[in-house]
Amino acid sequence: MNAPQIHPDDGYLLDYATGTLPEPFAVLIASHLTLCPACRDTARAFDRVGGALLESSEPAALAADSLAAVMQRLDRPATVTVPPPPPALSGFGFLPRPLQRFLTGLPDPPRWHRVPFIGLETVRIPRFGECRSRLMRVAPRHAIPRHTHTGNELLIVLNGGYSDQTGEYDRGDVAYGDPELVHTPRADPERGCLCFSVWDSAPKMVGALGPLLNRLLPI
Amino acid sequence: MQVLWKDAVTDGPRLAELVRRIAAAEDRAAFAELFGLLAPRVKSFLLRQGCDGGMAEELTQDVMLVVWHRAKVFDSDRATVTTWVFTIARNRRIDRLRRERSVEPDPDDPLFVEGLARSPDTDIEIAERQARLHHAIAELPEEQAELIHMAYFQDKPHTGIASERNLPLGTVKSRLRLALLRLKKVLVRDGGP
Repeated sequence: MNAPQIHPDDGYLLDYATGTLPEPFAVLIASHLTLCPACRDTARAFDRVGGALLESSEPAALAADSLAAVMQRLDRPATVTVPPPPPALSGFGFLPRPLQRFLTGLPDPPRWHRVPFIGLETVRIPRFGECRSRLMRVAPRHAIPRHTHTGNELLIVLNGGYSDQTGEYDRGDVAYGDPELVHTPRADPERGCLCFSVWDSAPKMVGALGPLLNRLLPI
Repeated sequence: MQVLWKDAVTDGPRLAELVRRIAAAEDRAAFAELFGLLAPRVKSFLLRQGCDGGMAEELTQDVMLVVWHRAKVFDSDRATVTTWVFTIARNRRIDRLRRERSVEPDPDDPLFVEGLARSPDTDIEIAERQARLHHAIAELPEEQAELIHMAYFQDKPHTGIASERNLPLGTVKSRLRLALLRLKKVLVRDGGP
């Protein structure tokens, strides 16, 4: 399997390292990191900056009984444990684990909602604060009609691929959408495209059918 | 930019040795020493991130307990102790303070793509690299240093920093990009922990 060729920009890797990304965005980045050793190196570099800033922080006074309180708790079972591998939703065992864990709790098998005419199906994922996310699959040779984005959207290709004027996206690649991007992504002619997208404001269809499609899109 | 290099915990090999002793024999004396070296800095870091005193104390104790329980999985070839502790503190903040779930790639994931294996570094190489990193952070131009500090010490993504400072997102992104390029030159070229 080839490593991804199109990466999230460093700003997102930095936000991931500083722990400021909302969970759905962090899930997407961790899914990319699973597949991409190069971005893991970058994220680890930002962790090291954090480590260095921690080292150079001036020591703060602890509570008087701080050490004693912790020593007393050493023999108790760990409260923070490494979670076991998540149970895979039927047919989704091939997804990166951070994403599988995030999808735990969806109906199994997941329910695909068809958007008429354009070969697009989506799985709705409950809203998370200001963020929304969904799984999306587009049938081979189909294209999503020309649209733009009203906020920040990140997308990771999970299977198949697509292309638009910004490039060709394959498994593990991450694409970014914002109000400046107006595009017509076209799914791979043989494999179609399955992806996970996260946004803090909904994509908006443009063009003659835009108003109709904006109503039909289950987002 | 204020970097208290003279006060920094510089003895990385000593920290790694203490963690190894905890992993090997649940050595409480080693833990107490490690606690003395790290806990006040973890707390300070959390305070700078805006935690109130009580929460910072509670999280610091939590973080040190995780250090105790996870000492066995600490890998000194992959990270320095302070980097490892930074990631534990970050994840505890996400889990406890934001009540979200921290997410990390799982090396046991069948999809996990391994990077190139590196030969382990000597203690001297690790110490030199850490000194270069501190130097690179201290030498960042003011406007870049400010953004890096905001990124680590304010609970905001880079897009949020732009709106708080009334700067165009493009300006924030390009300043961050310059800062990150400088740091990456030291960090990624070096490789290693």
